[in-house]
Amino acid sequence: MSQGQQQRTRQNLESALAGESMAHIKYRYFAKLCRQAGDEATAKIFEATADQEVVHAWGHLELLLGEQKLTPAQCLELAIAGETHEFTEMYPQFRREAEADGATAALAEIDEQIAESKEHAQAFATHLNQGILKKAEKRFAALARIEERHAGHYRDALNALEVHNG
Amino acid sequence: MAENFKKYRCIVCGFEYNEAEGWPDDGIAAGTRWADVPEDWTCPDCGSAKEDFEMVEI
Repeated sequence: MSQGQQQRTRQNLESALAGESMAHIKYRYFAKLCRQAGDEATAKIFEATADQEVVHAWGHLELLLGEQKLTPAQCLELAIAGETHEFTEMYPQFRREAEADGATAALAEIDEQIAESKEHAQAFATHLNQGILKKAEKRFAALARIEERHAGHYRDALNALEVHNG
Repeated sequence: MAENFKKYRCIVCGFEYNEAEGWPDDGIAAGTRWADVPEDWTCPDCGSAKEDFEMVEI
């Protein structure tokens, strides 16, 4: 197998991992909605499927991380790297972009208001849009702080392991 | 009967802290005002900080 093919399969495994992970979360969410709607049977179907997606995702992870067993310290190191990426790069970037998009939307709204024939529905959509952007911006900032704490907890656990193992 | 209990909603996951009910799982008694909830208390569902809660408009 060429290096390019290996690379492609690796990327496909990463996509499959992301897809199965998302399906798991989505089905758990759908189960919650079904339960709220009083439909316990459908909620259970979603939960059962969600459990299977976890096992699928584990299979992909096994191949991606190499089939060797990771030690607890290695798991913590990988978790710290993941959380650190989330709070130092991913969420700060998403927050900045939401902020920028919000500013653009605000300008568009002002332009619209200057125009005399402004559709009421359009303005409403812009307000709605602004609300979502603002919420997303705040949420990304909060999530960055949560992931930073997660990384801290993992680091503490890793330090404790290292003390324990000498 | 105490009055004007407020609710505070987590901006990340929507969890609601209701002053009237407190959050006994974390030792926060019913009737505990938001101001008296410990600063290091975090959202039971998603782990967000107290500062990431907003008052729910009534």
